Amino acid sequence: MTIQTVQDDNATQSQPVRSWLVSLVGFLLVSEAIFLMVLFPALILLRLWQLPDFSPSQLLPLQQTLQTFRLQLITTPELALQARWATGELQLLPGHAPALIYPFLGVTLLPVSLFFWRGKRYGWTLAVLIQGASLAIALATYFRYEPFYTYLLLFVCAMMAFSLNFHGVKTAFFPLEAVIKVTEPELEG
Amino acid sequence: MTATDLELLRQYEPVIRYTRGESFFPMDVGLYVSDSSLWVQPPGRPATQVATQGELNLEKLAQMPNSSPTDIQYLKFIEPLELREMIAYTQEQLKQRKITQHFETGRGRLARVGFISRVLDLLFSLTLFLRGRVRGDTSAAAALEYEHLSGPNSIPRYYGRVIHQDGWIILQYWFFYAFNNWRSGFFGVNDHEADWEMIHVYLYKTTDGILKPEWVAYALHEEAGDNIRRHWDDPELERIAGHPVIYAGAGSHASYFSPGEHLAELEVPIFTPVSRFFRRIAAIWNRFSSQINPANPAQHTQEIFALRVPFVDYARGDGKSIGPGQTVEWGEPALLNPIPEWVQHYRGLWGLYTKDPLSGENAPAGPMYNRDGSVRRAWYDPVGWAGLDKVSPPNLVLQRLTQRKAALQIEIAQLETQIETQSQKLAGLSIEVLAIEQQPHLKHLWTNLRQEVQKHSLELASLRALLAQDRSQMEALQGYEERLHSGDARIVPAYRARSRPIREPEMRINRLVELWSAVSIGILMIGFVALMIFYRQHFIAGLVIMVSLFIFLESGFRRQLPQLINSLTIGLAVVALLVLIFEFFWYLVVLAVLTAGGFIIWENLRELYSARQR
Repeated sequence: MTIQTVQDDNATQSQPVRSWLVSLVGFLLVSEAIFLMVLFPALILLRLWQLPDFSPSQLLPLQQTLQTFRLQLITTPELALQARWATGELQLLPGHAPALIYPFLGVTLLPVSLFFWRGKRYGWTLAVLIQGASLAIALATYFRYEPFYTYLLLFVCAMMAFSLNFHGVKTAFFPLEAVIKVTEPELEG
Repeated sequence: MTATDLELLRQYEPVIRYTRGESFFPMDVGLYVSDSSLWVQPPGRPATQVATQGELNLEKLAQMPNSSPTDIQYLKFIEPLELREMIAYTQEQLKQRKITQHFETGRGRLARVGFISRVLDLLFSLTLFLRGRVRGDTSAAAALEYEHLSGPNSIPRYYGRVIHQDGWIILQYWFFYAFNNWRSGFFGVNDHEADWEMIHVYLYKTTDGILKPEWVAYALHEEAGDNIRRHWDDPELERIAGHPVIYAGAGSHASYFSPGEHLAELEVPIFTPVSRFFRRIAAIWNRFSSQINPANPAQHTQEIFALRVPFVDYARGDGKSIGPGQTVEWGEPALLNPIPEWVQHYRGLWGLYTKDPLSGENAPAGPMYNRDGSVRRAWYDPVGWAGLDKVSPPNLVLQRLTQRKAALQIEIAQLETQIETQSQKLAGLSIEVLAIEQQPHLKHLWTNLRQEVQKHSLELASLRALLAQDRSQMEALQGYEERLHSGDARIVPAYRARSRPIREPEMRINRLVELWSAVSIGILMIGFVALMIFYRQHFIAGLVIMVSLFIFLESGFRRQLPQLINSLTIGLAVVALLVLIFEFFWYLVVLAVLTAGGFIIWENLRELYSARQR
């Protein structure tokens, strides 16, 4: 019986080759980072848009407007955002407040995408961690408030979590370990 | 028993290497029996003594009347130690520690396995309080009694038997130990009085009439089959001047081929369905995500969902060595051909019956019997016990091949005749069908005949397929025969080797992990009680946080944090998909139908376009 230790093709490479699949997922991660960053501002704009008799000029000067945003505890434990400016007031829905965290996750995901694209293992791990955190927050928000934006988030993050686990992607970061191959037929006990 | 049989036994008698700290060695059963009392345990009543200590010998033991089927007959070797004796024994042990004759535990039994296995280990240890068990001081008493019985210059002894089965000549070696102190002496599974261990050497007769060894099989706990045997030329089998070497487990006396620390895992029967369920789920996920080690697809799931209690069998071989050319040589072997009466007639246990329902702490029965009085497989079917029932002795391979070829030739001839007959019949039927095809008044017959033709045609096809298969098989047999004659054929089947001792790199477990493994379960229990007393209103949340923290730390220590994060994320992603399906079910159905419709249109148009181009 010949027993030989063989290495998986990918395992022999000290620096993982960036396959088109890794590049594609890296690009999707950057897109997701941008999406997460713009999600909260988009929600605010949408809410403003829904206000009767609102015009963008009412928000100017911008600096002053931003200073008036307040995170408020409406009723325990619900958080909400309130904005006041010279001529108006905006009360964001309670389900919108948790979305405040996504820009931070998006900003974090940008350099993580770069590490991922460069084939760093911690890039993959952090990318998965961010998907997990986003999904956990989105699911918690969904079960409590059911805001419409969580559907989009759940879809995007779930798809990204699965794509990070594609065989071609995962083995680029975690090559299969050396395996023992028995070259002759084995007899079961 | 002929002189040749005795010579054979001596020629291949093994060398046994023990671990430092081992207290018991193969001994004469006569000495043991003469120092034991005999008891009968009826169900639900106190045990009664049938023979007192010093009253018994092997002849008397064989003549003892059988108890009723519900009673359990057992020998009792040890009486509890008095305090004075216990102190003396402890002092002796301390002296041995100073001269480094004592056993040193290996690194991190608990650190080698997961969190759940450690919880199971705790539960298993706690069950010892509920199950019957051998008392803690019994091991010490047994060691003193064994020393007293065998004396300082004791001569070890084995029991030998020669069996002829299926063309093999099997040398069966039995070793009797007064006590198994695996649990109390070496952190193992159990303690029990008396221990019978055994190995087999399988010989065959060459064309010159010389007996040659081909296989060896070592008894290893309750295992049987291919895993317990090795080929005589296997590099894993160590031999000293033609004698196989056994590495005996410390306290357990289980036989290993290689020295080292072997991880023996005890699967808890009540958790088997749970672990099977999780393994199936994991296997489906692995298949789906293609995250399988191609060499061993089951390995991953087995490691994760193994709800087993870990124990280390220390078979280091750094202690006493017994056998030819060693510091201690075997005494005259006792022969079991013909079967002595004490082997055949005494079906009881050879040591204390502790009423342990799992049987681990109950003494074993003799070499011929299981604990329930049935005959051991290794005794009546030593070939099948080691999985050799499907392996022919080398001297019989050619003969059996010729027999198989002859049988196959007959089968082929019969098939050819059948095909010829069937073929002629079918041809005739087909002509009949053609002949009456245009006869409306014979329509009913025509339908029946057509059905007949179809039936016979199918039968003929299957017969021809069978013939083709038999001819291929015959060709393979002929090719194998030619290779056998030219000496190119392999007559030794390959086998899957069982787990080898834990290798050095795997054992590099740092102190922090060891410490964590030792204290984590205790801390979890203290935390559980603290939550109950101080934070009862937040008990569930606190418990979830605490367990999560433990899992997180555990994964960190085991360098499995990425896997943990990934598994949690995948779990959340699956929940997210289920939420989306629940919320948008009808939209998804509509989308699926539209996609299918679009795809069909595209495919049909493509076909149409390519047809026009032609």
